[in-house]
Amino acid sequence: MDDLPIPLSKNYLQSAISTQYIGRPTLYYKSVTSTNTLGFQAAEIGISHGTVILADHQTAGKGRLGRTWHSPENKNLYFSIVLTKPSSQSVTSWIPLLTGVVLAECLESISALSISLKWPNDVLCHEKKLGGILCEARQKGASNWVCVVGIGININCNKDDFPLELSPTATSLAIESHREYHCHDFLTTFLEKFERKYEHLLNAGIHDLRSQYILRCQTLEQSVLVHDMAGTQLKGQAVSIGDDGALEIVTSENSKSGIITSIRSGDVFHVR
Amino acid sequence: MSDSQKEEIEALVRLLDQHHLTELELEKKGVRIRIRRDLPPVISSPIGERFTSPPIEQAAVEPVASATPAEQARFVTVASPIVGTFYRSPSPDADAYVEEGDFVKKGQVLCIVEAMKLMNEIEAEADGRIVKILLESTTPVEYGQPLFLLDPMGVS
Repeated sequence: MDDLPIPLSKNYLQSAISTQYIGRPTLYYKSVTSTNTLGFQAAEIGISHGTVILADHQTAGKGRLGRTWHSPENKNLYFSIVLTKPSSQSVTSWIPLLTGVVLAECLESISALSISLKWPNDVLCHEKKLGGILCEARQKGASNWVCVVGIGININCNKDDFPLELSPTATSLAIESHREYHCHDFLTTFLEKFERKYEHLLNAGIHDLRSQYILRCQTLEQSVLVHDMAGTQLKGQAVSIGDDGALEIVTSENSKSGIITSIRSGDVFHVR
Repeated sequence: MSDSQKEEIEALVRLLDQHHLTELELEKKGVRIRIRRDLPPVISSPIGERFTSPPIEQAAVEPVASATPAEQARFVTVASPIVGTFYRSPSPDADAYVEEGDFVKKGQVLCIVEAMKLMNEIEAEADGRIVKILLESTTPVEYGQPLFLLDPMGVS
């Protein structure tokens, strides 16, 4: 394996943060290929559970299923949380949704904007995407597990920073609220809240998180169209969130019987 | 074993049956009872209907026709650690991670299982040869559902 690049700081947030393990340490880089890629490399050499990889710029930011994530320099936040302590299946499947809830709550509290989630974890403001979450895990047998929670949040970028194809669907906090924000203050708040909610999920189960998620999730009670990777399309009404975080819908074909179909992957579109 | 213990176990077996479970474990006053049974492989609907697929652990896998019983016995099943969707490649346009007959190294990624946009890469636990790929890409999978048969003796 290649050696890791040397971070600008190995304990960037140490004095400012009040967490037990999330962001301890926070390895801060000027530029990386992708914070998720670096997170997995760091896990290979044995970094501690909760380490955060933070970068001002990603040269090859990752999206889901091989898509790329646009990462203009110094204006937004790009970081990954590396979790190395295995958790149960019931916890693992909620990590993407938990991250969405934490992000929405933090963004709302600093900006006073109304922030919602599209299932499972697209963070939206006025129907446009404020950020992206890419959770990747590697499983090597039952006990060796690494999960890297990658987050890109559009904080201070303006309309001109988005490539043409993204400008109709992407936005930033600054665009929506007409002011600028201190990225790393936001990061501290985010990591502290993430740890609190993650610990609560581990210790008390999904009940509270599911309630918080349902309050935020604008997909519920909407007509939805689901495209899966096999090319299948399903149309229906989103009715609830399952025990593992799945989106539960009643398809048009099942509207009389009310049989529920659980969606765990694919792209979900809200149909007006 | 006392009559009351027998009755308790019988009640657990009925519970297993009623709820189509494959495994049930109860620990009471320092006594642990674990009941497990194998079910045939699950056939899932395209996007995974609720309640249609009971969880399976090391469920029966079709024998590989060309393999001797001794070979069959040493094959290792690679199972899904979560409920989700099975992908054989990192993106829809990319080549599959592995094909049948490929030799793989310990730690090599074999597939992805996605759930709620958490992309789980499943790695080989040992060096070996992929004897059989048990599912098509984009198929919904259950917890513990077998994905690959790996022959750990079949190293190149």
